This record gives sequence, structure tokens and C-alpha cells, in this order.
Amino acid sequence: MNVLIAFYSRTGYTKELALIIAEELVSKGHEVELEKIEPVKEDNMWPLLWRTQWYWGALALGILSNRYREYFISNYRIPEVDIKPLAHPDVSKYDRVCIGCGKQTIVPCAIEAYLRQVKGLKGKKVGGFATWAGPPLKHFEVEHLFRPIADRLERRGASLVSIVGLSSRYHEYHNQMLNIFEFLSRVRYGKPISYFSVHSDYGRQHIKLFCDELVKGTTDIKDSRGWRRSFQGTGILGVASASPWTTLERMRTRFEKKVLDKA
Amino acid sequence: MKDTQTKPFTLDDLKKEVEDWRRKRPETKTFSSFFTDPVDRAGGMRTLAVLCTTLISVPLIELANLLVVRPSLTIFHTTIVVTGTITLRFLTRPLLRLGCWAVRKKDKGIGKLIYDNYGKLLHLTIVLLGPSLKWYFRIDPDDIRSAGKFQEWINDTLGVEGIWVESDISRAVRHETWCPFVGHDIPYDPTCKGKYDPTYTGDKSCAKGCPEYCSVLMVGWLKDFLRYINPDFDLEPMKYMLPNGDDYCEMVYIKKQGHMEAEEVGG
Repeated sequence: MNVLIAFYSRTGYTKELALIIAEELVSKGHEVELEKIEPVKEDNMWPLLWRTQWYWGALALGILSNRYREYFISNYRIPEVDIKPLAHPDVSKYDRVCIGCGKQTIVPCAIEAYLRQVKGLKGKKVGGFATWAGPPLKHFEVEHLFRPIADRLERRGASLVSIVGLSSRYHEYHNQMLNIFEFLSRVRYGKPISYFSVHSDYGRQHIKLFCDELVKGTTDIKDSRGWRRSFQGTGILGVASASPWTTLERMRTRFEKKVLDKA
Repeated sequence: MKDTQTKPFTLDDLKKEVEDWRRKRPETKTFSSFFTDPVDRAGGMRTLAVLCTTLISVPLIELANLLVVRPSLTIFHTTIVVTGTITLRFLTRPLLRLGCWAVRKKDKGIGKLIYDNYGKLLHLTIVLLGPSLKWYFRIDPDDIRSAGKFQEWINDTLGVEGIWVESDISRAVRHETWCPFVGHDIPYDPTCKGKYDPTYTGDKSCAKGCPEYCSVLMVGWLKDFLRYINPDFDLEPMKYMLPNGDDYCEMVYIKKQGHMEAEEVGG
């Protein structure tokens, strides 16, 4: 099977993961070609933070309200950047395509540009791999990164069939961020971040699983993760806001009933 | 974009780059370096001030947006909502963990006290929040499918993953395929690799644990809610459960036949 691995790596951790995945696929007898996605001008970490500053308020609201989070993930805009010319601008000759990146709060701008520029995606089965600082939190990491990618691929006629996200245990914005993720990891999974790192047992197993699922190509991540449905439920924000409203409604109904009964 | 293609990047190139990178990989900075950086450099105190201002102001702007979009929410109401939501959102998981703990310690002491009263506590949440939940989820008292939104919401809050495999007006079946509590808060044989590892394909029977929490307390909670919505709604006893080593927990929502017949007779 002919596989193209396209990746964008700022700090090098995703590049390392790309190499591990490439070696795994080669060891299984597949042919692998590589595409290194590079922006024309690479930002340092501070403009990057500034560019995504509007996201943080939305993130806070997303914690309060599931409905808002769903809306936000489906609709957030990714700033545009120019990327260097691609070595493989047409991917139609490949059986499978892998796209890898780090999570930069949102989908990296370079990946957005790549998905817009690359040709021949129609009908392709695509795998997504990523590295991030913390554990694979269901919403904050996995869904925030892969769901927009899955949406974009679907619009291009491709489908996301396999994903893997592992911890790099590195965060550009200082140790305190890692401490927060360490805390979340222990609260959520009862395990340290190192459990989810690229070189851990978990990492090796999931890379293997990723490659197997990519080759099989039978899973649709949007279906299996429940990302296809339009969210019909609500966040606790809605429930809490409904409580006083319902109470008032009931008081009003009772009052009217009493008045009407007397009348 | 220009049409000129760049030189292909081979696996050997990648290996070489990664080897170089491994020798000088970036390390996470410490908090003190944040303060010791020169002021004129990105990452200095000036940037910190901008960052703090941004982090504080953006949620306020978002809140203002919320108020403009939904003018019916007053400041007072919003304050209560935000405070209440944060509290409830963060208390849900500890509350459910408390139940898991109580199941294990139910024989004596404070564990017994909590276990005996935990059902009442969950029932109280339905009494207090039932009308709001029903109103907000837009639950149709004649449609069992819409009552399932409550479980979707609980799952979403807790991080449980599941899908509806059957969805009919009088019968709905949900499979919960992954649960953060199983293997962690719901105990199982600690020597078994089967339950918590998604890649494990061997024998899972050793992962038998303590299903009582789900089969008694959680199901009781859901039943409470369903009966509040419609006395004819019910849950069938659970046959398949993750803590028993099955691949999923199966929740079968049913609408009792008596209700249907009465409806048909009535007209």
C-alpha cells in the first residue's frame, strides 16, 4: 500500500512521531513517502498565543456549556498562513494519507492551508496523528483538533479513518502549563502524563493500532466518536438557566390557577 | 501558491533530522525564567502584562456577547447561572465518584451511611432539577427516545462514550462503549490487563468487577428520571456491562405495553 505522511512540526515532537509511524508502516511492507509542511514564516510562541487569544474566552464558555462548545468547534475560524510549495501537491496516487501536527490550541494554521491546497483528496482514507502537552482529553485535545480536521476532510470528499494523539510532555508556555495538565491527567485518568507519551507502552500500542486501522480503512472516526450527530442535548448552563425560569413559570401557573379558581 | 515543486523529503532525511533534533530537543522553561527574561524580549514582563489583560478581558467580552445575544438574561440571573454551572459541572464527577467509593465501603462506617442514602441524594437531584431538565431537553412524555437525552447529557458531562443502536418511539437501546470509571473507580481485578487497555484483545473475563454502582445506583437514577417524565417509561435490567467484562454497557429503554394499549383503546 502506498502511503503519504504529511506533517507539520514546530518543535520536533510531531516529526519524531511521524518517523515512528513511517517506520511502523515500512516494517509492515508498505511504501511510505513524506511531505514536510512548512509555513513561509514561522511564528515564535508569543504571536501564536496572540493569534489564538480570542479562543480562550470561548474555551471558558465551552467548559460551562456543551452546546456552546459544539457550536464553537464546528464553526471556529482558523487564521490563514502561507506555506512553502508542496513536494506532493496531488495525493490521488496514494492509497492512504496521514496528516500530522501538534495541537496549537486550535488546528495549526499550516494544516488548514495544506488541506485547502492539496489536490486529489476525494475518496481518500486519511489518518490523523498529533502530539500535545497533556493527556488525550476527550474534548479539549481530541475533539478540538480532530473534529475540525474531519469536517474539512469530509468537505473535500475524504474521510478520517484513524487517529492517534500522544503526549509530548513539552509545553512552550512554561512548566506551569505542564503541571496543570499533569493534575488533569491524574484527576481524569488516574495516571501521569508520561503514561500517554510517545515512547510509553500506551504510545506504542496506539501507534500500532493507528497503523492497523489506517490500513484497514473501515472505521469512520466521525461515526465512531459520535461527531456526526448534531448535538441535541444541552450543557449544564442551559439546565441551570432553565431552573429559575421553570420555577417562575410554575409560580405563575399556580397563581393564575388560584385566581381563576376563585373567580 | 507557486506551482514549483520542492525536492521530495525522504525517510532518510527524516531520520537524520530527528536524530539531530533528539540531541538538542527543546525543554519546557521554568516559571522563574518567565520573570528573568529581559523586558524587551518576547516573554518578558511586558508580554506577561498583555497576556494577563487578554486572559481577563476576553471572557468578559464573551459574557457581554452572551448578554447581547440573549437580552432576557439579566446580570443577576447570569451571575447565578455562571456560579451554579461551575459548581454543578465540577461537582458532578466527585459526586459520582463518592457513590463508587461508597459501593466499595458499604459494609460499615461512613461508607454504609453514604451508600444507604446515596440513592436518596440522586433522587433529590431529580426532584429539584426534573422540571428544568424536562423543559430544557424538550422531552416528549410520549417518546422514549427524547428521554434518552438525559443520559446523553450525563455521559457528556462525565466523559462516557456511547451510541444509540436502536431508537424507536417505544424502545431505545444505548451501548456505552467506554467509561472512565471502569477500572479506575469501579474496581476490578488489578492483575487483569483487559479492561482499561483498549488495544487488549485477549480474555476479558478477569476484568470482572463491581457492577453494582451502575446496575443499582445509576440505573435507579435514570429510572427516577424516566418515571418522572412518564410512569410508563422504564429501563430493563442490564444484561451486558463493562465491569463484567462485556464490550459495552447496554441500557434498554422501554415504554410499557399497557400504556400503548390504553392509548389505542382511548383512541
